[in-house]
Amino acid sequence: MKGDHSEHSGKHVTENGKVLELILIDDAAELRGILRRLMERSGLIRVVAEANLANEASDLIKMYEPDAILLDLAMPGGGALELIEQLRSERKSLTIIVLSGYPASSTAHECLERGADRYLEKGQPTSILIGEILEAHTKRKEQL
Amino acid sequence: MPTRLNRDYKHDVSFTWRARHAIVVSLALLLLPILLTIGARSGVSVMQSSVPILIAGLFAVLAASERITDALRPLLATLSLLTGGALLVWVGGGSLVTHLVFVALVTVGTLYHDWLAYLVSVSYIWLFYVILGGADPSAIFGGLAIETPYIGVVIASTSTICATTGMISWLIVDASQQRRTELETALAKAAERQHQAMEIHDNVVQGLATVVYALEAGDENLANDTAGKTLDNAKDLIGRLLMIEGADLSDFLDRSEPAQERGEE
Repeated sequence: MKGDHSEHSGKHVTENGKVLELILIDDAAELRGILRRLMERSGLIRVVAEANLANEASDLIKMYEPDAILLDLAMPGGGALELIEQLRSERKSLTIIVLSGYPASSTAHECLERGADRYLEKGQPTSILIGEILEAHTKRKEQL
Repeated sequence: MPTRLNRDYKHDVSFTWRARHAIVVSLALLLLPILLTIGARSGVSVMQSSVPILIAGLFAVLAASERITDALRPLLATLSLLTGGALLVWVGGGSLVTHLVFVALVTVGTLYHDWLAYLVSVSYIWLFYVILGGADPSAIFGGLAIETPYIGVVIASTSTICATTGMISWLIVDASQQRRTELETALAKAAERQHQAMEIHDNVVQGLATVVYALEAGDENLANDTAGKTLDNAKDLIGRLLMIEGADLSDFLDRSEPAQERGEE
C-alpha cells in the first residue's frame, strides 16, 4: 500500500518509536519548503536540514547523521550521481531517495546502480513519497 | 551564425595555408644557389644564368612579401618554383634527373590547393616542354630527344596527371573536412538545444510539482504565485530557444493539433 500515512506510521515508525530524520537536497527553495511542511505535517518524518547544492550535502550529513536524504538529480554544479556513489560507499545505513523531475525510465537505472534506494518522480502525492521513503528505510535497515 | 567550430576551421585553414606557403617559398629560394652551382659546374656562365635565376628569385621574394595579397602569393611562389625547375633542366643539360625534379616541383605547387596556381603550372609545363621543347629539343631534352621522339608530350602529360591528382585529392579531403565541420556544428547546436530543453523541463516540472504540493498543503497563494512564475519562466526560456534557432515565428503558428490535445489522450 502506498499512499496511506497511518499504515506507514504503524509499520515503520512506531515500531522503532522514532520519527525518520531526513535532509532535503534540492535547488528549488519553494519546493523544499512545501515538501518540508507536508512531510512534517505527517508526523512521520522530520526534516533536520536542507541544502540547495549536492556539494553542501556532505557536511550536513556529517553534522546531522540523518536516517535518509531526499536528493534532487539536476542541480547547479551537478554532482548528484557522484554524491550517491560517495554516500553509499561511506554510509551503508543511510537511505538515499532520489526525487527527480525526470521520468524514471530515463535516469532511474543509473541512480539505483550507484546506490540509491528509490527513485521517485516529482509531483506524486506526498502520501506516496512518504510511504516510499519509510519503506525504503525499513529495507535498508534489514539489509545491514 | 558564426560558431566557434567555424572560426576554428577558418583558423586551421589559414594556419595550414601559411605552413604550406613557407615550405614552397623556402624550396624556391633553396633552389637558387643549387642552380648557380650546377650551372657553374656544367659550364653555363654566371652572366647567362644570372638573369633567369634572378627572375626566379624575384618571384620567390615577392611571394614571401606580406605586402602582396594572399591571392597572388601562391601564384608567385609557383612561378618561382616552375622557373627554377625549368632552369634546372637547362643548366643540367636536359638529363632525366632534372626532368624528374621538375615534375616533382610541379606537384609541390599543388600543395596550395589553388586553381589559378594549378592552371598556371599546367600551362607553364606544356609551354616549356611542348612549345619550347619542340622548337629546340636538344636544349631541353639533350640526348633524350633522339631516344624518345615525343618525350616533351610524355613529360608534360605526366606532370599534368601528377598535378591534377594532387588537386583532386585536395578536393576530396576538403569536402570531407567541410562535412565534418558541418556535422560538428550540427552536433553543437543539438547539444545546445538539448540543454535548453532540459532547462525548460526542469523549470516547468519544478514549478508544477511545487503547485501540486502547495495545493495539497492548502496553500493557494503559493500555488498561484508559483504557477505564474513557472509560466513566465517557460515563456522566457522558449523565447530564448527560438532566438538561438533563428526561427521564424510564422513557422510555429500553424499547430498540428489543438493545444492540450496531447495531455488529454
